[in-house]
Amino acid sequence: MLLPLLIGGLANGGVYGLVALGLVWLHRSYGVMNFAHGEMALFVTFLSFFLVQLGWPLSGAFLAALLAAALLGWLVERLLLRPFAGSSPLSLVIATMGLLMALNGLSSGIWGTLPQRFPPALAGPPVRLASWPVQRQDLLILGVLVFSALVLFGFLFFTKFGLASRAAVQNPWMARLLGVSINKVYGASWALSAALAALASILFAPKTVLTTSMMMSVLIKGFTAGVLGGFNSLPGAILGGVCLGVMENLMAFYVSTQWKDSLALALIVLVLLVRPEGLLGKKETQRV
Amino acid sequence: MLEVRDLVVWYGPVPALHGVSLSVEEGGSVALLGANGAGKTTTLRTISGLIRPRSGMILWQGKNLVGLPPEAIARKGIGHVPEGRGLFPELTVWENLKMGAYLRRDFRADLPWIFEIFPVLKERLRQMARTLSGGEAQMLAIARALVGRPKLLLLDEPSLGLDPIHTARVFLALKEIKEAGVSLLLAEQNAYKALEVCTHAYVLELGFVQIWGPTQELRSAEAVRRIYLGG
Repeated sequence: MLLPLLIGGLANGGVYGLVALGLVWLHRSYGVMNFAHGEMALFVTFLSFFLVQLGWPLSGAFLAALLAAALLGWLVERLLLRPFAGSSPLSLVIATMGLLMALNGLSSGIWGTLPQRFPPALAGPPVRLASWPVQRQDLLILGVLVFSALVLFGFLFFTKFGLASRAAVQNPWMARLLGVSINKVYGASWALSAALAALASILFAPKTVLTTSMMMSVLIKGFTAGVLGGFNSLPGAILGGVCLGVMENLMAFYVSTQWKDSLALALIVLVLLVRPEGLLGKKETQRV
Repeated sequence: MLEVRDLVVWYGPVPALHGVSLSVEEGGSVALLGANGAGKTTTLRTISGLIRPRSGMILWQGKNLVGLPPEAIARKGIGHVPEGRGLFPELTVWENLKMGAYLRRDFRADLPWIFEIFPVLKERLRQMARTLSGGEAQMLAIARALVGRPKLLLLDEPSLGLDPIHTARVFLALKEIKEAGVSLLLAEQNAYKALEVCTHAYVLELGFVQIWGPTQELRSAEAVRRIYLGG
């Protein structure tokens, strides 16, 4: 029974990891904890559901949602947060909280509060893996997680703009002195983070029901995953998500479904007691 | 090439510069001398666009730079080696250099010259910048500014925290850079060293330019000797 549990856990964890990637990246690069991260993803998930209902093919609706998410992320930075530049980090957080409520209200207003069935991208009976049934959607999520991680890594380490983004995280003023347009870096960070969260949300929706409250718990778990990973490391965010997902699934099966969230969180608290900087986090050291 | 006119800068309610004027000729080398808190760093940071002045003008090739963001000023050919060096600690030496050439298509042709001035960097290319010693870090900071091919290089206390051997090496490098045709504006507390490299100097005190002129004259000026050269 262990293999399906592990794969199911890895898939849930992949969703948390994709959410955590964006949260951690924005926290590092923009200095803000984006509370609206989940709702932004939810909004475009509803959008893609709407397109599917109109008769669009799933792939087209997915692609449209990802582009819409990137645009939304870019707009949020440009119109909502940039006017707060230079004010306290707390104002930025409050702004994202406001956006959370606004987007949630907007989603409910447009698409209603009734739960909807979101069609899975990979439909069909479970595949057999060493005689155990494994959900196709779970395998897809894992594939997408690996693919997005590779694309992100390639962007950050093999493109000039990626290098500039990493530099800007470490010292934004110096990056500007070398000619980096910091606003482009910020815009791209927001677009990328929002697209990753949208990917998570669209892949997760078929595993549950699409409601306006779907992303609340996913956001909290993404945040937990980020903390477990160290909240300053991107590989840490993925590892944290995957660990959390697997722990949850094991707890659900061997202990109780009702207690799975609390027990998984308790385990994470234990890990953080032993290793406060998180699994892959670096202790922040400054050398001048 | 660069002309600063009546620059006034306040930090909130605190005045930092009270109308500083100075100029750097094409190919010139100018020292900005003065004690801690005299306004040297503020002057450089204002030229680079990191601080907005309350009034005054910064003319670069005849055009006013005031109000432009730092990245736009960098694009005009003004390089800045800031106080504290401003390296990216979690990038390698090579990546730091690449960032220096961010506005250029390719900078590989410059590398032989850079490694001639700073041979030690060649052996450190794959290392993280945070692992460098103070002297190596300063050399990387200057090298990074150079691969951006600036017309004017602003340097903020390049000898700060360095032992005499590394200080000598940095000043030797500055002479070579000057000979390559790059104009220099060098803020230094180490007045003797700065006067060796520069042809002109301005002495700042409490946000005012107290004395200025060609290095030859300043070296003998009684006031400079008394206040800044410790003799």
